Amino acid sequence: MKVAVIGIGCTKFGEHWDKNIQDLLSASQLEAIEDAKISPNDIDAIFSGNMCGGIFSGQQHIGAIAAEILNLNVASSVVEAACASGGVAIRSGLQAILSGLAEVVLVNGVEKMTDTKTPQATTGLMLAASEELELFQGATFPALNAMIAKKYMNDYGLTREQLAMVSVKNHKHATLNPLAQFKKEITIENVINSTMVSDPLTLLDCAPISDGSASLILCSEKFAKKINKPAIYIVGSGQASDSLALQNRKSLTEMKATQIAAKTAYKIANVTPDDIDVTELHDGFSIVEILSLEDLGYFKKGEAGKATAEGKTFLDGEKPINPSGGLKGKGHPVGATGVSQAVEIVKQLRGECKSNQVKNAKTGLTHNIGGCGTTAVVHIFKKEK
Amino acid sequence: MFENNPISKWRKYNNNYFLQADQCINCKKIHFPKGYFCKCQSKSFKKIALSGKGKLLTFTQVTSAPSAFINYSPYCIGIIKLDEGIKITAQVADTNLDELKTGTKVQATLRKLYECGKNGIINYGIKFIPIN
Amino acid sequence: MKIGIVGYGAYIPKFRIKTQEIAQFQNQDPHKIINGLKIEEKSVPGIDEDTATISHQAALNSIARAKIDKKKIGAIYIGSESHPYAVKPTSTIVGQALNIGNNYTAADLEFACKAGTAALQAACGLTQSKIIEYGLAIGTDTAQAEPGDVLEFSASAGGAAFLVGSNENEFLASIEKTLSFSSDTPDFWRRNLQKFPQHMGRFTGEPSYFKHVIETTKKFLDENNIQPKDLDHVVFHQPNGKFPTIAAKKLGFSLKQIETGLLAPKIGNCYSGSSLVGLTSILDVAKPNQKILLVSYGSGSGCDAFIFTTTKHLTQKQKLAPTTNNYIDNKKYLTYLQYQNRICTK
Repeated sequence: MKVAVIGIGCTKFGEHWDKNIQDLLSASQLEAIEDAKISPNDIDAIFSGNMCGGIFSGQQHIGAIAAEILNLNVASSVVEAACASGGVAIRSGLQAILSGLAEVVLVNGVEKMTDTKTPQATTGLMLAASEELELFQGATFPALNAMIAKKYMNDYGLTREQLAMVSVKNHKHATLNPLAQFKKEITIENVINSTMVSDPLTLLDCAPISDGSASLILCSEKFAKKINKPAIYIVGSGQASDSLALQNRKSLTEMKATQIAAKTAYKIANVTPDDIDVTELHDGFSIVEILSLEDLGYFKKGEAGKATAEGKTFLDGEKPINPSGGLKGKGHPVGATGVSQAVEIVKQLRGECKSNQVKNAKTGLTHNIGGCGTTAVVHIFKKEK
Repeated sequence: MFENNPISKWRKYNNNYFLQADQCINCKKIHFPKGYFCKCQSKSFKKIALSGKGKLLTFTQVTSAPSAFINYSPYCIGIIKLDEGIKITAQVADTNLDELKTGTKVQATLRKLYECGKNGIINYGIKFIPIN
Repeated sequence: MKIGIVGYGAYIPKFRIKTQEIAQFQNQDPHKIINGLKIEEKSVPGIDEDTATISHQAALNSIARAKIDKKKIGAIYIGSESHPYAVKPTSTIVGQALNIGNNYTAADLEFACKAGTAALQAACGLTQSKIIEYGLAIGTDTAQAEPGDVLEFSASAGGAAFLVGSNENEFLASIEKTLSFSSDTPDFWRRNLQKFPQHMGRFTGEPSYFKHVIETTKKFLDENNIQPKDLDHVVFHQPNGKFPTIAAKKLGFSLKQIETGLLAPKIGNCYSGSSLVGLTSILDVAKPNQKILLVSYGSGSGCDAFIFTTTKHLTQKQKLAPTTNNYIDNKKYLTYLQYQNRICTK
């Protein structure tokens, strides 16, 4: 597999009171097109990841908006897989190019979440879980992840401090990322003492509500060479799904979808977990980073907490994780996240990052999940030699 | 919004008011709440009643509730493993966080889940209460 | 009359508030109130409990004791002053939740605190005439009282369910006779769409509760040639812990005869459930061949009187479901603020 990424664009993530879906989308799309140095007319197809347009903005059918902004009549559709919408949109773009149906694809991810109050946002996010078995019973997304955390802590002895270190790290990285929502470092005490959301997860264990948009220009290897643009290549891709409701999982302390998606991507890319120099993974809640570190094969089962506390996943550690600040530090406009992870990895591999550059990054991985690990999508990126 | 639609709730009265499951006629595997297609390839199921007894696998307390549940928060919610081996997500009623632990024995009971405002329908469902 | 109780069950919510806790908020002397009303504490429904959920649990207990095929239940009547809907029957919510099928008649009844016994009479009528095989009669309330009003000390929550049948071999207690007295009396009422009831203070005593209960009981015992001493247990409607003892004295009953069924001191007045949970607590401990008198009272006003005779089948059924005392003893106290949160929806 070898699909080129020749353009990237991404808005700041945060509370964009003055911007709607269209405003956000046009910003990242135009930036990516400029970065790729192509004309919009070169684009054959558009895929846009979005989850909550309908429920928060009364707007679905966002594919039409994406094409209209660029004055194009091309095929343009929305991809939805809850918080994995962005990652799955990338995969849709890949499939279009690999099938030969398109040569240049624009991939977007966009989300507008801040027009609501917390209870409505809480309800909207539960679109990712089971309405019948979980939302109707009063479960919230934080509650589901809290129950995973409690089980993991019960089974593996993860301490509250180790868990909190995930957010400490991601906030630290975020202070080095100009696009991030949060600009302040936090301590373990800050995390533990912040407002309780769902025991044991506090506000600082949970990714925020954000607005934002991110875009990529993908193209065939042939097109990249034709326009003489040095590219970063997507060399591996994997996607998998698991039961919608948490109650129907075999295990509450690992995410099978991540494991399968990662294995597939590693196989296609012909790499192992040890070969990955830099990772953007889905830390929707601090506990998910812990599980994902193990499910991606970076650390043995039960050891991710200790590894985090020992600094191994910090920017200067042996396995840098979420140099952008992750979902927690950078922000989490749901549909945009998967694409923004790819933007960060491409920047890292290009060596374009400033304060949060991982040294000598040659191979990168993005990991994007929807629901409580219901859908998982993993992409592997390589710098062309 | 969807949470106030009475029709979708009526469709599931028999799943929300009492605990029952589908059992594959061929291999006896239990599907909860409904069976569509068994791993053994069978599409035939028969209804079985569940005892409503189980143990808390994990739990938490919701303090930032979805719109429908605001008047009822905070409340405890858990994943319960029923004696029949099935897991169910449900609130744990009449109790506080500090009274619960992994493994607490619980029993199903019918309670109000939420009212759809002052004019709308009242939704009932299964919650669990700790038993000694 | 070949009709009898084949199953019975009660349910009382877990939460309690002490009279002294309410008295403090009303700026009253707790000792005066406790002595005046003879209520120490009352039951409070959980924020997720209502007449439907309480009735359902009581009904489950009655079916557990009856050990009948619940699909043979041909009628469900629920009496309450706090039906969840003004229009949409509690009876069918309970029927659906019990999973008894669709072959039953149902209706909700209201007659203040005697709606439950009216439900019992209605179920008896259909069953004895063999129009149905079993009838389920329930009296339940989550009573409302205006903060600051004297009713706040007594208005509580609870319910009891009775399965009636006409097969003598299944009787836990036969229903020997019933007699009613009805009048138009303005002692206590609640207008449509109003949240709290109104009452006429001392008028609720002599001309209302006592006149009806005493006259009905006297007539009932006279007509059936029964002396007060012939009865093993007596239960009256219990708006507080005092009224039943005064009525008992006036009628020539001993305190011992009423003590098993007198629950108001511990759970308050659960309105349509009041006399009926008194009856379940008697059935929980009664021996075979004992005579029980029940006289309910509902404002507006009226009384339903019954004589029951327990059978030899009762003893082995008593422990098949939680007893009334199991529920009374399983309790958790609330502060006044917690109590207000539970009963006032935001």
